[in-house]
Amino acid sequence: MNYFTSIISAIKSLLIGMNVTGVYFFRNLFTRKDIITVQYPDNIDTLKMFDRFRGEVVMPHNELNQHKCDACTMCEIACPNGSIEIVFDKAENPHTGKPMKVIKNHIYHLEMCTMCGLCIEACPQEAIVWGQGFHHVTQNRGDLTKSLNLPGSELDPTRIKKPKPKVVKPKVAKPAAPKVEAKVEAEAPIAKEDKKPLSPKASEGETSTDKIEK
Amino acid sequence: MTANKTIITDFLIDVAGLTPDIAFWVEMVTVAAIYLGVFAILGLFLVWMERRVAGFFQFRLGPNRRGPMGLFQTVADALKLVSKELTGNATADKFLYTVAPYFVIVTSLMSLAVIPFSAELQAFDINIGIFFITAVSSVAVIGIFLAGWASNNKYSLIGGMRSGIQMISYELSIGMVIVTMTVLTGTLQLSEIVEIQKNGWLIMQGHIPAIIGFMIFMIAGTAEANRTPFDLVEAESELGAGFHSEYSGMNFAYYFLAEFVNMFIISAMAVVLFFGGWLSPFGITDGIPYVGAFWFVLKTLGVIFLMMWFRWTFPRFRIDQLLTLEWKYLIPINMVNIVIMALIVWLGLTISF
Repeated sequence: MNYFTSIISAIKSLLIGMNVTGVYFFRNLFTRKDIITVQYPDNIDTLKMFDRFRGEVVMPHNELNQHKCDACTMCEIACPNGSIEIVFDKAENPHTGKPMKVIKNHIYHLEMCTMCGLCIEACPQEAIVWGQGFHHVTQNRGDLTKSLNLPGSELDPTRIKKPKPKVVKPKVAKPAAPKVEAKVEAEAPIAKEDKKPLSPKASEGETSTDKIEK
Repeated sequence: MTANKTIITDFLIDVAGLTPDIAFWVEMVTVAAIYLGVFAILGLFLVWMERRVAGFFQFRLGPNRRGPMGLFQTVADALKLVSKELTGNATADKFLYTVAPYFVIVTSLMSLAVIPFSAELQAFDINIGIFFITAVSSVAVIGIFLAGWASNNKYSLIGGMRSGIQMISYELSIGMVIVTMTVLTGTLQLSEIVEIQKNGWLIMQGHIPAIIGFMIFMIAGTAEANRTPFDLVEAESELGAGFHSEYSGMNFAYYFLAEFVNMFIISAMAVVLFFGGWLSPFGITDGIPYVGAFWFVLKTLGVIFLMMWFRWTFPRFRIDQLLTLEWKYLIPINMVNIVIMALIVWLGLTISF
């Protein structure tokens, strides 16, 4: 008896399975509203990638055409395949009068980039972030070598290193603090870095923990 | 093209002024060329259909760029395969390795020759038509087995052995279903089988045993065509590509196209045996010549769609499950089914209008 019930239950379950897939097939054939295929070259204008998409490395600029990159070259050092080259100039720090680096050209070779993200992790200033651009196709290989800082852009003045307090005490630091509180906190690790040579990893760790605390 | 044979020969003799002997050979070559074209077009169209249908089952669109609805995509794929180098295993048995694909193609083409596309369009209407198809299509196993053996590759060999087990087992089921239906029709000639169905398609005339027979035929036919619930021959996750692992370029394309043409042949057999061949539903286009081909192809595509539906629904069998299904279920059911069919025919319980 088990033989016949097994045949009947087998036919029944096969029909249930065919019903499930058949409903999907005919719905997709006639309405096409559930179809998830992205018709890529046709929908470049409307296609929006999600926030975590690793399309390319970009350097955000604010409305005054200012960026956050202070040419520390951390990203250039972190890049495993040399996709980033940084060309910088010497300038004078307006606050201290000491020489400081000013970025001239942040060259990014998209054709070599593997989107590993080590440069973005290494950046202490959050000057470079992931962009959601995806349409990189071009007729000319030279188009893939990009300059991330826009022409005529400059370092955000609030990011220029302030003179170090002579004695590192909360009392002395406080008078400067009320105006730009967050900035002092962000700069604290960099000030420390000047004092004792830290490895890039360590400073990166400190900044990231700082961010989390904030 | 039995009916056309005289027309073509007459044309060649009277208008072109050929002697009857030469006219006969010219006609043979012409028909052969037509069938080669049909083979290629059918294979390419069915690959395209498979991909589109698979797309809709999986919430995709499938190929839709080249040509109207992507119809030329498979043509482009075939052209790519033609231009590819024919690589091979250095230790392979060169002669058998080269010959094997042709066994498969030739058997598909020979089966295609007896398929009645309509009352007028049939190349070779012999009185043992359906027996001829089963006999010829079992030769295809040799092509697959030779490919597995001659490739000198253990995965190919396993694929070939599996296909030997599978195709030989399931041919038995197909044969017994054909016997069941022959009890009802009383003839093996394909055109006569279709003519009998003017009083109602055989799936209605034979009601219960015919429906059981159709189910068994679809299961065994899917296994015979090496399609997915039974695709142990070329199980992608276990064997790579099975018996044709070592084939590349056009040799691979021969296997690929022959597989799809075999699916067409099995579906065509199902249409002839159960769904009235070229006859139109309710006789709406009876008497108009050549329209039967449209109905025949339409019904065949319906049965092919059913096989594709199986493919995207059912998971693959294990080899022991495959053999259990055949020897413990299909064969006994088939034997009982033949007896029921014989009783129904004997007692005159068939339904016909």
